[in-house]
Amino acid sequence: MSHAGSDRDARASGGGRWAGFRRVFRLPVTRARLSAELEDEFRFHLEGRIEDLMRRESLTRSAAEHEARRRFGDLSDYRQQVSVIDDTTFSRRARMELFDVIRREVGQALRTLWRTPAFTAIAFVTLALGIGATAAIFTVLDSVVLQPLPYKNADRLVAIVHPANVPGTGESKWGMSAGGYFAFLKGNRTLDDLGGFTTDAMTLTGQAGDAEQVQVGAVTASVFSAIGARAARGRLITAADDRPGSPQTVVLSYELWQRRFSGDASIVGSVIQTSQGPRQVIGIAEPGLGLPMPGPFASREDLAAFAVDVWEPLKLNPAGPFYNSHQYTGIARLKPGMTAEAAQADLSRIMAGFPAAMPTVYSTDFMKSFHFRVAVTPLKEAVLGPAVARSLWIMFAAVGLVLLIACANVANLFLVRLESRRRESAIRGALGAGKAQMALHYLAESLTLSLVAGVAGLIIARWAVPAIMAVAPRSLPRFSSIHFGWAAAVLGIGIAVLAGLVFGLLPAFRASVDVEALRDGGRGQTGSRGQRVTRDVLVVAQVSLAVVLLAGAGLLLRSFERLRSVQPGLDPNGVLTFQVNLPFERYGQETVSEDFHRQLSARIAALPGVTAVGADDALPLRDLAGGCTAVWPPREPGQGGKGACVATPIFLPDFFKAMGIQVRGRVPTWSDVNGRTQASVITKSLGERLWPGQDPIGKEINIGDRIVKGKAYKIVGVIPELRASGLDQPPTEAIFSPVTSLDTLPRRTGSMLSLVYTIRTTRADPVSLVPTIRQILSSMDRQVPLVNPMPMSTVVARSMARTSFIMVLLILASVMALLLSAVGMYGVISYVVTQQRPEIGIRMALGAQVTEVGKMVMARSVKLAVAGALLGVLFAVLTTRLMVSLLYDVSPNDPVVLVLVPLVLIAVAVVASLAPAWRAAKIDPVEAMRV
Amino acid sequence: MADLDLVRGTLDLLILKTLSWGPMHGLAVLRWIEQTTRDQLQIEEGALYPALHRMEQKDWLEAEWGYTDQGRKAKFYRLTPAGRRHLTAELSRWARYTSAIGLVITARQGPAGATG
Repeated sequence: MSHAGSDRDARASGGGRWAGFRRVFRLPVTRARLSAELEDEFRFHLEGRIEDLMRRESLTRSAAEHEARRRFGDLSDYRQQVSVIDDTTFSRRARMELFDVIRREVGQALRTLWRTPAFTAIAFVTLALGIGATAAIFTVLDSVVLQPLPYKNADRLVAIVHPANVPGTGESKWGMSAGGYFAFLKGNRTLDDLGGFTTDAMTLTGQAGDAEQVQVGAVTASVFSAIGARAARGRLITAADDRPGSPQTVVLSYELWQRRFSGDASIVGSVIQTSQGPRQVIGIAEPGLGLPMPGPFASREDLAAFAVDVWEPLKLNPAGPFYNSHQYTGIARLKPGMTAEAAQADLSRIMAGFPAAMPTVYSTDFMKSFHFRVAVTPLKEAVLGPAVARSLWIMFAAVGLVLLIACANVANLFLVRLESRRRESAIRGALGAGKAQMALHYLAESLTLSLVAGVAGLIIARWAVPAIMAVAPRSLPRFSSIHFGWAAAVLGIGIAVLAGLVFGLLPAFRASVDVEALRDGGRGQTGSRGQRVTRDVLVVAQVSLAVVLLAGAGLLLRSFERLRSVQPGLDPNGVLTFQVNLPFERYGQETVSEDFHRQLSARIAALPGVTAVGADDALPLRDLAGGCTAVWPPREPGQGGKGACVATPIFLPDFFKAMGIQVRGRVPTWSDVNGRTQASVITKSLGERLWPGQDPIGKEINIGDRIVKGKAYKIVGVIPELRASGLDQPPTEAIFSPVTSLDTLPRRTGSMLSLVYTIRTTRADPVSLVPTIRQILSSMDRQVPLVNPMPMSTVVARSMARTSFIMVLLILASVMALLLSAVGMYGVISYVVTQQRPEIGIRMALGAQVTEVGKMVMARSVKLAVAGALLGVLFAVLTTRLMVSLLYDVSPNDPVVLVLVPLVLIAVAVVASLAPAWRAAKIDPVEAMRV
Repeated sequence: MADLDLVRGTLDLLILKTLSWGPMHGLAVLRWIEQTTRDQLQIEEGALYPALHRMEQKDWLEAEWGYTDQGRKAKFYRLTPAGRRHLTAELSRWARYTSAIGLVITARQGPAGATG
């Protein structure tokens, strides 16, 4: 059976199966084409069918049409089905082709890059370092400043403090008092939860290991509900546990539970022994739970990784009695929709009623003379403090500048490379290579290079972040939350892609067919004028950015020098410090603890190499900040008098000798302690303030919370200014009293239970004494640990840590910038020399001296550097004022820095151009002119 | 004449086998099947095209536009090597299927000894 007359549908004879058909159309490339082709296919089928029917069954055309459609079926339904299938095919094929193109181009790009190893290596390293540094600093910035705090509803959490202007000391931030806390709790309209906390330490004794000092978070039950904390086992502190008189309970932290109690679940419900007595463990907190900041009186050391080991209830009594002592930092959760400002207004309103409600605690006189206020700030701001965010942003900006300089370098490298391939691409263009095709090639090269460099940069950053953390100051808030994460990776890749695009599109700014290049017979000229100007502009830009960086680093360096020359008021060389904490239950009685300290001092003093042993309860340069106590000279009744609020540490004799503090007058000794003479030592400026024009020695003074009936303190000695915490803070006034003073404040302040010992030794390394002293301690009482030993010089260094940290990083950034600029200038000048060889040759043939040629080359380099330096100085003057908060005693427009830095850059430019100038001078004119 | 409805899934097999003789357009495939089965098989003609396009997506077929002998533009399909392999597999599966059915249909004994 044959279909007479029908078109031959199948090819039967030999030869290639497809040979008989003319391939006119390739596969469709757009969806519109696809559906048009489907219509063609259907139409062909129907037409063919109609012809068949008309022929075979002798139907009329319209009958045949009808029948053909009937046999075909639902046209639109089948059309739909096929469309769906075609769509999928289309996208899959498009994807595959894309992959193919990418693979091909990347392979090609890699081969081309491999052929110019010098360019590839320099560009790669430059970009990798730039991206790596940026990603590393960004990690720190992101973890500390940008990420929210790790609490539920962190954006609604606020901190509550009382700023006060302490006469004599200045602005200070106090916590809430117990009375204030209850007043706020009752009267507020803007807060969902309000809690107060302070921090402390205690020693765990008894079972499960040696005596161990742990951090304590003393909280109201409402702190947990404010931050949305949960228990991992058992329960957290509830309102019932927080009532005065309730059983002594604690909650252990998850980490402490794992570490000391081996994660034994039976610890919940059992009783543990501590330096403050037995405590029942009611639960384990969830992993990672901590306080955002330490309490108002904690030492600056604790600011950073403040992890709480043990939580205990504060058990504040709403019925009072209340005192004017402000130890509880407030943390609260705002009602939905409330702002911190609204809460502040609300609490200020309540505070206005304090003098009426609690006249003995909050007299109107006190409120006015201390300018007592309440401040509600978002918790993250409070944790970071004013300076941290700014410092980190400055560091990020600095490293961003380095990145820009690096990119300018790489851009220059690409431009140079472009020049040297001018002939090659001109030939290609003349032979018909599409403009788009060549652009794709360039883009593939630059993207491949920058993406690989980006990945390398991320690897560098991963390694660099721990290194940065190692030199970062301990007092950096949220230190423990710094880790390399997605944000930095995204940033790094993003920069790489952007850079790759910019570099790859550089050639687009050129004419498509470069006839000029073809016309050169062999050696190329210096390049189009546009190219040259671009390169020069890039170099000038680089130099100016480098100047800004160097200026910043220079200013910090000068700050650092000024800081180091600040007199701390003591001599830290050869001094060891450590803390000794006595458990309350056995040493609560003052005579008992006094005896202990007496004995300990004597035994340490007997050690070889020890020249003085002393102690006090607040180490200068670290612990002296925080609260203050009122002091005033005794007044005649009816006579108003001066007063001040200062630090009032207590000390063991020989403290001043151990610390190397010069005392004018007499230093109290152990006989003063034994005789209870209350002889005290005062700082010079306090004396001048309380008794202007007179010698304070011999005068009497009352210390606010230590009223001994009828007996005031007697001043026997005067010391120079001390610094409370950082060396960059103003000097602190203080009055030191011997340990026998009575004390009515709860917790650590003024208690002999926790003292910092200072040992002056002749040994080179004071820390070498620690093992011996440990032995002495444990022989006296096994359960008293030696805590936190460190040389005083470390304490001093740490107090400068913030400045030195930023300075180190900024100096690193500047050095990188300097190197990159030098390389950049070297590269550009080098290339120019190479390109100008024929001209130079001509000049020399015409009689130019060797030195003239050299000078010509260097002059060009110097011109660029001078332009860049001037521009840079201008930028520097504008931007360094942003750094003012980081500088100590240095003006942001310090003339020494602003003059030296440009000179350094110009010197670098001269050095960078030496080698090319040398090469230029050695050009053989005959050789050079041979075309 | 056309009283055997096509079992789903066997359409693919028919198309593949048809194309194993050489490249054809859709209508040609249909004509050949009609011719070979002497019009006994009823295929709704439109169903051919989803099948053809699906098999092209699976890379069992390749498609190209070309001209017929009469100079008309048509889309031709041909088997790829993968398609050829699939055809072989389907043919053997069909053979097993039909022989299994045959066993049931030509059985002499029913369950529990009943004869029919």
